[in-house]
Amino acid sequence: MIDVHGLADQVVSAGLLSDVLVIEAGQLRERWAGAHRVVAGIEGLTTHEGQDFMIRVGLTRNFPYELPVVFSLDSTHCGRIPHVFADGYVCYREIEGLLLDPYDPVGIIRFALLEALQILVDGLSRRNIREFVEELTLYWPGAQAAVNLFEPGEDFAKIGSFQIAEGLRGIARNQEERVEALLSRVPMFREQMLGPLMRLCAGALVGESWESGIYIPLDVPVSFPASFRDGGWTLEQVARFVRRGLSKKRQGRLDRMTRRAPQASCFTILGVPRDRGEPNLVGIRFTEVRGGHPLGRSPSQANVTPFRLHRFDQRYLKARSGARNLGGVRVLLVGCGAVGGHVGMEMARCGVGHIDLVDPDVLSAENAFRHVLGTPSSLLPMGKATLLASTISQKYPSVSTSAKQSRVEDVLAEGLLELADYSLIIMATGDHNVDRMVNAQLFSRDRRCAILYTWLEPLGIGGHALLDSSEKKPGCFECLFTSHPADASPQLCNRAAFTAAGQVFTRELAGCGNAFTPYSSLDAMRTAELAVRVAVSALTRELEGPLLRSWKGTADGFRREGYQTSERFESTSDELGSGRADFCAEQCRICGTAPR
Amino acid sequence: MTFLQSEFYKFNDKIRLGWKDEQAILRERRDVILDRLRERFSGPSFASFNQGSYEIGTGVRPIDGDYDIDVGLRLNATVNEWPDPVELKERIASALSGYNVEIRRPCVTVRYQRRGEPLYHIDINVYLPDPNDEKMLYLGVGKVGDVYDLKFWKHTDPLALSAMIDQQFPRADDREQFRRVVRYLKRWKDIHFSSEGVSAPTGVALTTAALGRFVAARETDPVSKKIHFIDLRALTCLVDAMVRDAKPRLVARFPAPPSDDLFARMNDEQMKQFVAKLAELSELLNRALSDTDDASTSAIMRRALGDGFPEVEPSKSRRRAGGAVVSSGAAG
Repeated sequence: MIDVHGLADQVVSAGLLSDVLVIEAGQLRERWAGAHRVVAGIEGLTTHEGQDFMIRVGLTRNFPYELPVVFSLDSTHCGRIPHVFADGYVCYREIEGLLLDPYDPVGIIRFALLEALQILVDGLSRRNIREFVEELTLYWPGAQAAVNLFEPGEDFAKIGSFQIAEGLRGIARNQEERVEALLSRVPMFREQMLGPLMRLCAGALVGESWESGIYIPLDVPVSFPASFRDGGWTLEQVARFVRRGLSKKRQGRLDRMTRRAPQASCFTILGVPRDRGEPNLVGIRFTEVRGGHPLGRSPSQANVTPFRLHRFDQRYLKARSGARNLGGVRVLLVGCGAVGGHVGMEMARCGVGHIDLVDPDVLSAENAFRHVLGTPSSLLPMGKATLLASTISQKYPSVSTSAKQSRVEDVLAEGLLELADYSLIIMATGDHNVDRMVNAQLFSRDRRCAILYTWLEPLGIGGHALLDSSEKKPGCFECLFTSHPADASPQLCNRAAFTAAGQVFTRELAGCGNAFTPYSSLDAMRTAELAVRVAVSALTRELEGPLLRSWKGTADGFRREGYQTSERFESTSDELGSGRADFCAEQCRICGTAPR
Repeated sequence: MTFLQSEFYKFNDKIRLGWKDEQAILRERRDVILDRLRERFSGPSFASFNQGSYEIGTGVRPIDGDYDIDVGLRLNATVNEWPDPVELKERIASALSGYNVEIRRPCVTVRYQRRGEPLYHIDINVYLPDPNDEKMLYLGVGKVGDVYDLKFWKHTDPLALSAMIDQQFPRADDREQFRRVVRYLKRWKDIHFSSEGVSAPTGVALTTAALGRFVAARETDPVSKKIHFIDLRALTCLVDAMVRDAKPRLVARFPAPPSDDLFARMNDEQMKQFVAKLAELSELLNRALSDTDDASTSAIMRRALGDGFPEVEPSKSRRRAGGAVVSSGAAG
């Protein structure tokens, strides 16, 4: 329980506020308190950069493990100053990335006050007026009434909206995009989708509830009238605002697009450029349209309703969730098993635009607990590559995928893939024989592309990723199988292995044809993570092959089963995780420089 | 680059005195001799110890088949009590009557022959303790008929070389490479120098010369972290160093008093020949080291170290141990 009276005294003694009042219980039942989870607070006067401010400091139940909520009690600030909301709430700082000292609550309040006061001072002096545009979607009035599914670009676009559920519309470029969205894109609205889906199946879809709209990418920095957040705009205000945000050339384009009179209702999505990052998208709906297009040159009348968007467009989502700018990159993933499955999903999450998958196997239930796809969703046998490709496309529609249920060697022999198209090939078969064969075949080609080989070892002992250069220089997968020239008893073994040579790990649970290597999903994931980190670094040119990196687990379980580790397993995790080209072997039969 | 390490190991196995066969026979003979001495020796009581190449572990099978074992007898007496070492050596010879015994200046030698051919011999070295230094001993030098000056007690530490090897190479596998390389050098000496006469350097001289100049040659595989020894490189570096240090004589001082040069008994002409042969060996070894073909490298090594070095047939690829199909341990 917060001792708010004690805290008030300390705040006064610290000189943070004067004329302090503790907020009464009745006030704490008001809307502003509930909206910000405030359970206690104080109000008082303070001065910053020569200006006086009446401030309220609200404390949540989690204080001092949570920042206090600061309000400006000057009603003229609301709507005039960026980051100050209608109830006076000053959004001064997100908690994310901050570590608070719970033993210094007054210090936390001092920090909060200073940050909030700076926002107010900057706002009053209009220093931070651009923040309105930067965080436009926060201030845009109206309900969050639509889901954006189309990819906004640099140019105007004809778009349309359709009803998803009561009070929620979807925005797409055309009917095709709409159908695709209904079928696959928006799992969070699955319940609401059932109705439209059923109508779709009955063939009763066309045109129903479709409302046309225009995407208008503004290209001139705009500022908003101080009171724009109150809503209640007139059509003239909106039209003036839009035209002010467009260059002369684009205004002509808008004229052409608005020549034809719309139906009784239409809408526009505005792309409002920001100083940093992706443009903001906001919507305006026009109803009861009379005369010409509401944003056109001809006289028009309409009701204006601003609305906000849930953004599902991939460019925004990628930027928002840490994906890299790899949309133009094409990757070939060979092997869609436990490691390959995770690699495929993660490559998509990292923003890779095109993933082609090759794997001859069908997804079987046996590997359900270590495969990213889990138990097969269909009782009919389906290829791992096909299923993984469709799952990736479903979850990340901007990623284009293709699948070949074949052996990679057949695909290569028949010339079914144009290897020069790929920025990276990822070999995740876990079959060293296939890996070595592909390595031998590709190394001799004139035009090489970078290849990453990844595999894991049994019982959680570790996993590896080897990146081969795209240039014709020494260092390839075969180097791992090349004995040291002074090795007096060279053995056929992978020099990177954590398991001592000559041990057998494959097991069978149910007779022939059912052999498997014991490892878990966690091992597969960790290996995939290593591989994808190397892959992405290679694609962004932060890393260059050849290099070999490994992770090692604990050997307790491994040794308990009577197995032995190799000398390499004794290396430190740091050494293994930062390995470079030292695996290159001069005597390598494929890339070696030493005469053989 | 080809090191033929596998062939070096095979060669080493071929030339080293086997613990199980030759050395077992020698140990047996030694024990019989020691039993006889304990029974019949009319002198002070004694304790025995091994010394020489047997003790150091650098023994090689001689080409003529006459191999030996060195035994030290530490008599419980003083130099004052036994001023004439030859007297004690004669008593030893007398206790071994019936054997083919010869009193030589440094030791008493018991020879074994079969059908007139020398088979092996046991050298018995007679020592008296130094009352002032536990580690040091006095070696009885002189033979019957020597004038007074040639009969004396030589102050020395017969185990100094062995202790020095342990001290200089703390790693057991480095010591093993040192021993292998000394064996190669001794085999080279046996092939390139006549077994008669005094023109050949002694084994102990070569061992001592190697001690100060040998550097272990090993590489760690940067990936597998396995350690691989490269005997060809170690031998080459050693021989190069010996040639470099011969200005004009090569010196190998025993690592304990009297710290005498073990090559001292070679005259200048003999030394010149020895150094010339070392230079030839160095040239061959360096040529082998820069050769990239297994077959031609093995041919060079056979010129240097004799036909005992395994021959590698041309174009025969090296077979891997463990077979062509093994468990990969990998999965994906």
